[in-house]
Amino acid sequence: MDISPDQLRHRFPELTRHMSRDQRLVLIEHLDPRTISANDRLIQDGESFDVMFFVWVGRLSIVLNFDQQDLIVGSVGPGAWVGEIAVMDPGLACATVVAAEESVVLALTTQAFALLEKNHPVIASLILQVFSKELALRLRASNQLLLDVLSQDENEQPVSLQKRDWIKQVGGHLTGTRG
Amino acid sequence: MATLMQFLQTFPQFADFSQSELATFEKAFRVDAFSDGHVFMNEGDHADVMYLILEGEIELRRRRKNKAGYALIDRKRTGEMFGLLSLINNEKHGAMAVAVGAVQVASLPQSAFELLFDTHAPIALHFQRLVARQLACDLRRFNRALRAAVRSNEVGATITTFGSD
Repeated sequence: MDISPDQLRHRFPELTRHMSRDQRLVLIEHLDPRTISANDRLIQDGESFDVMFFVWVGRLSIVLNFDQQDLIVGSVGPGAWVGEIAVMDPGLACATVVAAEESVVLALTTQAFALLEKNHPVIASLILQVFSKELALRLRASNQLLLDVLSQDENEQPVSLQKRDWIKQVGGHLTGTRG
Repeated sequence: MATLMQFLQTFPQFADFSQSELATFEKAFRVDAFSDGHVFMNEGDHADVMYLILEGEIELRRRRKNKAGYALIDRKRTGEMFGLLSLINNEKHGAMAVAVGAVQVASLPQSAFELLFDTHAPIALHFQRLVARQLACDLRRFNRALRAAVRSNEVGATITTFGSD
């Protein structure tokens, strides 16, 4: 699948805002387009993972497992991404990511990102900036949600939110659901 | 008192920094010692500095919602940074930071932080990776705590009744 620098800019404007055409071209060279079928699992909660995905076409579901039951807490579509924490600090996944429909994703492995850091540090730096700003927002939201949980009296329902909405909100922040 | 360079050389996260990078950090940071109870920042304060803990521990506290007092939301220990979130997104501080016992910190003013965060020199990328790692680490820890909190209370128990969409 061929992706042009202009297409990349239109699909991921926030990520590529400060990148030149040549820099976008280099980034494309480090991305691995993959077509995935509906219900294919890209990331498994609790398992180590070393790749993140930019959604080009289709939709991915973010799933959390509580008490052996799967709860879809959100979904992401074209222009969004999942798993960026793997690039920043490889470790265990905190959610499962499944294709909700046939999709095309652009995979960025930690190895590919390491190559970007080594050979194209400016591009790596621009990507890290975007991811860091987003993670900082998610961290702040997680702080607030945790405070909400800790502030509840036992058996008290969260203020101004229905339980279901609240759980989805928590799940959304746990996973950084976008789009 | 040990120099900043001596401290940094003992921190694993600075292990892959070159001597010249560490020397640059030494020039940019200011080292100070504070006693127990010192308030580094208040919730709602304008963000103008970030801190690296050289020795000791601080607590991050937030005002409770609908209740009096503060809730402890995190502890930061030797080698960890705090005050990052506000600087990254140019927002007010979301928590109060208080020294627990004697603390020695290196502080980096906003202008120097932005220079390191927004420029693309090798040292800037190195610093960004350091910041990114701590953010990712913190987020993982908070998410684990949130999941545990959700699981352990009444609201968490209701999840099983909803199932998947």
